[in-house]
Amino acid sequence: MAVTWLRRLANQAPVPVFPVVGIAGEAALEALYLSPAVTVVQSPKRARALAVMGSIDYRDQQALRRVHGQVPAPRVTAWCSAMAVPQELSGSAIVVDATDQLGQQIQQAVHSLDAGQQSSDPNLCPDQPPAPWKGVGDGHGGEGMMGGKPYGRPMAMPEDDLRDGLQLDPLVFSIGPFSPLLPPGMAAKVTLHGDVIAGWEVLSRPYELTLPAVFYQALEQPVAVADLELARAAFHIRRLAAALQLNGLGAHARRLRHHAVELKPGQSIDDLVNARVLQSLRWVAGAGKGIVHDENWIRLRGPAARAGGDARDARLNDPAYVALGFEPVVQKQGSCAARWKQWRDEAGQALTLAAAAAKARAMSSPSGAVESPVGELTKSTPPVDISDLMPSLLVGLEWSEAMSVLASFDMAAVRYTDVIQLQGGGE
Amino acid sequence: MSAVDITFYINAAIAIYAGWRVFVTDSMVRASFFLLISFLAVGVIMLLLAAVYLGVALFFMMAVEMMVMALFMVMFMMNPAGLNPMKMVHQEKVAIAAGVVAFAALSAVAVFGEFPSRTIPEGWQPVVSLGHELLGDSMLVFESAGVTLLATMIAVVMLTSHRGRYGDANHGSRPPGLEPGGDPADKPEETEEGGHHHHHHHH
Amino acid sequence: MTSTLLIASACTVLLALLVGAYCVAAIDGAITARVTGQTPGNPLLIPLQNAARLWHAPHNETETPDRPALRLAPVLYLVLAAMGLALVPWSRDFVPVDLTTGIVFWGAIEPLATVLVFLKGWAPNAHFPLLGAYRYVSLGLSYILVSMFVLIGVALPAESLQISAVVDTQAELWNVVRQPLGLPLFLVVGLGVSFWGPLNFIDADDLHGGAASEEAGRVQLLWSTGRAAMLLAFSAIAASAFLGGWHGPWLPGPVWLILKTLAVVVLLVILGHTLPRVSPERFLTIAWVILLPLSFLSLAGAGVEALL
Repeated sequence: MAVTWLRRLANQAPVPVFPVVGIAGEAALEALYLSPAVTVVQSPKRARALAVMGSIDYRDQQALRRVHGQVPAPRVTAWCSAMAVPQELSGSAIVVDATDQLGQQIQQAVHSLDAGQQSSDPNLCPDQPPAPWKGVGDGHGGEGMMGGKPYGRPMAMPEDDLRDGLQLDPLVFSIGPFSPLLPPGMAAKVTLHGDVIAGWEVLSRPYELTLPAVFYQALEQPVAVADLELARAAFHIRRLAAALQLNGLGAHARRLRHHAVELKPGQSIDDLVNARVLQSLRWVAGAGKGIVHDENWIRLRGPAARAGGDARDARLNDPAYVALGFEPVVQKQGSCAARWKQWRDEAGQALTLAAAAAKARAMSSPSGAVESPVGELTKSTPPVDISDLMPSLLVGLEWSEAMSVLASFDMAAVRYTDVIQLQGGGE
Repeated sequence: MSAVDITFYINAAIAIYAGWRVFVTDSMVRASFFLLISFLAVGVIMLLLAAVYLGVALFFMMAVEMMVMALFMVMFMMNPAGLNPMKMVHQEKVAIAAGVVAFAALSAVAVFGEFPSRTIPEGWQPVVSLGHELLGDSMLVFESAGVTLLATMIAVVMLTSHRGRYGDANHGSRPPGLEPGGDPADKPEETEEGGHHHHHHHH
Repeated sequence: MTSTLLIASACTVLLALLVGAYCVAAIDGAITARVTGQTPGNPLLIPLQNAARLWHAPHNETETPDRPALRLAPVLYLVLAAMGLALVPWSRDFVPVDLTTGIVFWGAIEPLATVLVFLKGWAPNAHFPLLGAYRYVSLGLSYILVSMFVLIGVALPAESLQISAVVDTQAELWNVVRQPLGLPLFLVVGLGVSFWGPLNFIDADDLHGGAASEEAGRVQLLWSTGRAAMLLAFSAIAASAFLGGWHGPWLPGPVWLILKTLAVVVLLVILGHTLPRVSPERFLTIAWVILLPLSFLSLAGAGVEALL
């Protein structure tokens, strides 16, 4: 009796879910964030369920199986993807089509799993130690002070430290492709000295980013400027939410995510988030770092370029925007904090523009180039991947600084060809 | 046996067991925390001996000390949870001999020494009397000197820090010559060192 | 001490610890709901629901963990919080443990808690927890010094290291007025010891949750309870050392103590939701260049006042 009472109490709480975001999975992830039935967690180990959203590249299938194995059993896998469910999971995974139902269905599935009405997912990876004991005897595993390689991994040997001439052991590991700290699909091999990044090798580039549909439509046909600007504001606000979350302000991040779905033209950005909270971001690790120098500067685009003082903006070529008196906002420093400020300022400007455009019923005029929230989108050259700039930016930074710098960039290329084909096919 | 006796025996056993584990365990971090446990048990015994201040002071001093030791071990050698086991004893024969001699000497003191046996007077304040015994009237001087010394230590660390406010502390520095105005004694090494730093700036 | 009083003291401390940890979680939930503008349910039930969920959630097993440390660290952290709470006087006559060196004992609890928090990150044998623990400890050492000086400052006017004596000297004037720098400096220590908000360097989201990234189920429940309990114990000590403890007009002593303790809890939780996690490098500078000299200044002021 007591147990069922406790169980009933437990079922009232939201279920922790680890998101695996693939190509075109961004919208489902946002819906998952808003669902009161689940909480999105940063680590699969604390989750009860895995939510696979969007399609996962072939090269990352093995990584997906590993992440699946990291969710402690008994677990639930939710499939919200155009991909086929793997053979082993076909009996147990729940397939969800509507993204707004995802949270609820996961919660129900976990409840019926706990009640014993449903069985857990089988393990996709063999449940055995990755590095079994290879040492001699059961003591130090070998001869001498270091004791050999009992788990098949050698003890790290000291290397010169980057900063102060100490000799420290490097710690080498890889993160990604489903780490919430990196864009979906990106994987990197990291070498750390203490918590200073001594090496950053991009193992795989991020998946192509799917923008809100209105930006693709604007390439082909006139669309309401108000719609474009509201979509832009929502896009920037969500990324600000990610920056707040990274720096320990999860409640404010959730507030922003909830506001991002119901933006109204003319809303003030200060109503959405306390101005002082956003200003405080320049006090966090890495806020003054991440400045792109020299020849790579030209490869930055959109808000990242404008945060460094380059006023390039495709909206300047659109008569509708000129009529509304549009002037791009720019920052000077080009640092991590400047890019965050740029997102905030552009979101605020977009909300004001949307109000003016709604009043004037302004329509954009397709001229071959649309200013998307991540840079200029043209038919011939959608924004390309810049993840190869990261090693030069991140090496020498402390871990937390590096994570802030990563959270201030749009690294992924923008998905283009197949989206346009889909749209053309649909019409 | 009173509660005090039982507490004493338990803590004495913990102190000895944890002290023994320091040498048998296979990770430096674990060894330092076993040493901490051993000291904490000794601290409890000191509390039983009415040395209230010394016992509690032992708690926090050893906690900070062992934490700093473990921190440096992790900093220099990332070996989480002792994944790669290491041997904690070196020069075993010398160490065993030294240990046996020290044990015999201390035991001799314990067995043959004469310890005073006085009951604690009523209203005795061990903390206050310890303070007077140690420092007497110079408490204020001692405390001021303590804070001044700490401030000096911090200032020295700041001044000698490699990463200075205006760049590397040793930027452009040159060791003194063998004779006045002459070349530095270890010139070949110095150029290598210089090359090293140059290399670092390129990162 | 008679055995009845002993049992009463132990029960009071344990009850206060459990109810207090629940209150911290409920206050945290209420303030989160206020910030997000979303009310997911009855705020009084949410902490219980989450606890029940964690109780039933499966355990996460890592590769070759340090099992004794993994199991002992959260329990001992909770025990330390209970020890801290036991030092707090509830009224003139009722002090569960009236140690003559109570202030120094709390000073020992802080570094011991730091050791246990380090073990939280070290034991699972995984790099993100280890990085979090490493970062937490290297920064934690800088505020423990501040804590020592602030605590010596409150012991000076009392001419005693006993917490009940420190409370007694505040009958007319609270230490927060007498030593205005003390409480703000001490609050920084509270955020650090319970790894809360801007000083949560170990369970940080920039490490996928840091040490918490390998915790699930009951271990996670134990740590979150311990963390809330430590915040509560710290707040009770802060209320006794700076806000006059049980002193206050009209109401009985224990009620004043509870009110003041909860006020400190609310302040700390609001700080946690308002300030982002500071940059480690900047915090090191703040701690050594600003906080530590300020604590010297506060101590010097207290010393001069004691001499006059």
